[in-house]
Amino acid sequence: MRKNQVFVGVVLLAAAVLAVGCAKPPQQEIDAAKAVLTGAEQAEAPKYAADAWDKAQQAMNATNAELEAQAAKFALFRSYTKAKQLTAEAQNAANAAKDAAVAGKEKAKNEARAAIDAAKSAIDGVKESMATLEKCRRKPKDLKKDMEMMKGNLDGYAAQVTEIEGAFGREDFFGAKAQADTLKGQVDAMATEIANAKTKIKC
Amino acid sequence: MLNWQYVVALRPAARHRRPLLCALLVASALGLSGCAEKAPPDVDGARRAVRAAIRLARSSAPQQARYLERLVADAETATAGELANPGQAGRAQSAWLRTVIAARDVSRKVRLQRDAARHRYEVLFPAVDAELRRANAEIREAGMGRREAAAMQRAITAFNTALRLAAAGQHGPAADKIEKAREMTAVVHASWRSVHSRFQNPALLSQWRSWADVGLRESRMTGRTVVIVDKLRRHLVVYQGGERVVTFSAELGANGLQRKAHAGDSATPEGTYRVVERKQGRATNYYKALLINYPNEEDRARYADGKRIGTIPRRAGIGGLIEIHGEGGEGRDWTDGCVALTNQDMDWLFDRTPVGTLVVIVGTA
Repeated sequence: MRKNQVFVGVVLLAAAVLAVGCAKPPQQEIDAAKAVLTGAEQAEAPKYAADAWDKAQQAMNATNAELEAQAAKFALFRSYTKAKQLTAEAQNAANAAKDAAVAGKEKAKNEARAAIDAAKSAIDGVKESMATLEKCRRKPKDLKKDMEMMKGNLDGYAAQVTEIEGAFGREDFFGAKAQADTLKGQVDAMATEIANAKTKIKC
Repeated sequence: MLNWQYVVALRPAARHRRPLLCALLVASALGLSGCAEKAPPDVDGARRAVRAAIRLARSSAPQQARYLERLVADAETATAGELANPGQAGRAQSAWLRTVIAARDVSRKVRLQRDAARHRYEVLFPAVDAELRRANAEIREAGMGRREAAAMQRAITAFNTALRLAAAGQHGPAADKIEKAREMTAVVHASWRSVHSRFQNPALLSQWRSWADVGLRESRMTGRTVVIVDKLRRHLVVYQGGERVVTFSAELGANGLQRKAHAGDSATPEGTYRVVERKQGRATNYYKALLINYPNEEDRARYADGKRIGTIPRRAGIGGLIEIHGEGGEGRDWTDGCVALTNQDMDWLFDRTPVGTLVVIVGTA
């Protein structure tokens, strides 16, 4: 009877040890979170979504810290419930960082494209105005020199559009936008000059 | 410490409780570490310092920022490990120490790079600003054309982009743009120098001086008005009786620093000429005008030589209708080869310049 009791006790204890001791880190979830974090980095989250990237980093660090804390415990007392929860949070944060990076990059790209298109459109407008000015019957000779210089200016603008497109192609969206905005400012000034010249010669 | 003698000497009546007791003893022995009071390592200061370094490095040194992020991850893990297992005391401290040292190095490197870029920008800025102003003055002069205007525009855009970038604290790219602006202003300077190089030619200088001397001699000997135009200085000087009476600012052809060779080159001729017609009212579009006898014999000879050796286009004529006229005062060279004065100056000159007046046009004298 006693032997049976001892046996049952040992079996129960062993079962309890096995049940608790079998707790393992949620490796699959951790790997998934790491993969998403790598994806966020590849999506240039540090550049285009710095805050979201920081949050993802901190969430991943918290996960690692929890895993380390559990690993330091005796196997019987390990519990990965919190680690699982933190891993899920890290994965969500990494996903958010990746999404924010993609959105941020797209926004920068769109803004740069819009700035380049605006500059190009302004240049086209100036070209049209120049063509009108050239067709004017009244064309004083001082305007000839001006028009030669204006044509030179247009050549300069066209060369810069090529440069800016190059920066855009290299994904230097911030640089491309800055240069396109500056260029547009100058083209607009030239458009005003042409308009004034037209008014002056009553074209 | 467990009293193993006590455990072994338990009374038979109590032996049925042994397995549970054993489990409790083992559990309490293993759980001791979990119940112990732990002092968490104080790493908040280090955390803040390293985060600041990462933010600093992120835009200009992203690889370094990423390296620091990895060190932080390791240090956080070490901190958690130490909290869970005080037996590993010192692990977190050493990890954070390593991270902070690395962060300090990265910060220093980034700051040095930034300071160097800012210094480069600040050194370049005034120099290129001055060059841009000089190029802006040069571009308005005779002989500057479409190519130079294009270079000037590129210089202006690069310069303005540099200002924009510097205002955003990006001195590295700003300095690169400033360099680009300098490169473009150099195109304008080079053309300007090329146009002006003939004004240092001793043979030409000697010829111009001899023409001017002819004019001065005639003025002295006859007491008449003689007009001498100095193209480089953009001056029209009036002499009477060999004495300088007045000097007016003059404007030339759009390519006026070159010597006129053929029709449509916008260059202003050089040589000794005579006023052949005085125009005013409906006779001229330029307020008042003094027509000179371009082309003279020398101009015709040069034109013929140019045609023969091919420096003048086959279909180009020699040109004509070179005048001293009004409607000037624009502050730039804009005519088709004529000399332009303000209407006020033209009034003065017109009243004192009869047909036959000698007009000497020189590069410089």
